[in-house]
Amino acid sequence: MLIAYDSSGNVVATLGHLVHRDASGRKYLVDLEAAEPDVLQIWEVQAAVGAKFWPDAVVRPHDWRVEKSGPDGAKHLSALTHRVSGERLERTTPPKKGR
Amino acid sequence: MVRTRHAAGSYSRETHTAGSLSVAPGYTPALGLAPVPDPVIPGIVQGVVVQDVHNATGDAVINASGVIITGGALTVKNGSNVVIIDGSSDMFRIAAQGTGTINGPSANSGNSDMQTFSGLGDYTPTFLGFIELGSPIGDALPFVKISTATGHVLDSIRMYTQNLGAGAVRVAVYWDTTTASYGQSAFTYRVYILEQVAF
Repeated sequence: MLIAYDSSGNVVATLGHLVHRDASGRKYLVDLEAAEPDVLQIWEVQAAVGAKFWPDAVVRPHDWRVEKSGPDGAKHLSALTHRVSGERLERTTPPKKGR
Repeated sequence: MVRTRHAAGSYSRETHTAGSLSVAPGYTPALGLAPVPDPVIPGIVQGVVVQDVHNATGDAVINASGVIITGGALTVKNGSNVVIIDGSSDMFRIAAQGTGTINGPSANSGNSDMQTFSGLGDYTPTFLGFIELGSPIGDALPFVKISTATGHVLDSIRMYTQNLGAGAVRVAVYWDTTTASYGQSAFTYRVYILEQVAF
């Protein structure tokens, strides 16, 4: 899913599923990870400063805060930290190459 | 009467009548008998892996791509023989699913949150919306809390969708309160953007 976060890293929105239509009207499920670099082309969240792909299921994702890593311009979500308990969820699947 | 080859190299004698199949056990062919091709058996076929199944006109196909029915109908019945999917009623397709956060406003004020989903295509969208409230979680929007003492609205949380054209749909959530945001600093909401489709 895509996770949108505010300036403090708090999760403010998620996108779990999106179906697009191409020019001929055919429908297809959007690859959310592939769409991450141009996320604003498919999803815009008023309260967010950014949105990135997270490969794993999360219960109550709004209770978590994102951690990013990687070089500027190519950062990815590396972990989620629970806002109350401090529990940390490491990303289980590395980002696709080129990210 | 046909003969079917078995894995162990023996054969069974079978009688095939009107789609049913009975097998006389213990039939063993004489040595040197040429292999018998698997017969084509209309009716029940078990233990066979095929790559493509279709009817005579090719309108109903089961293959690696899935189940494809063209010009027909998929009928699904439950255990009581009641038709659940009849192949003629329109259905909703979930075009997008997401969550968001609506922050609690101070007394006698309101807050809003908006998201825009793009590339959905040209159709008239509708939606389902929920807030994560109560146990089990899930109250449908709009959500209105009314004072039992005065009958006045204390909290009102509503969701709207707006078709922006060019396949873009905006979801807006508004929360107005006369008290203190129902005692919550924020709610998570869940939205499904739906498209009506016909069989």
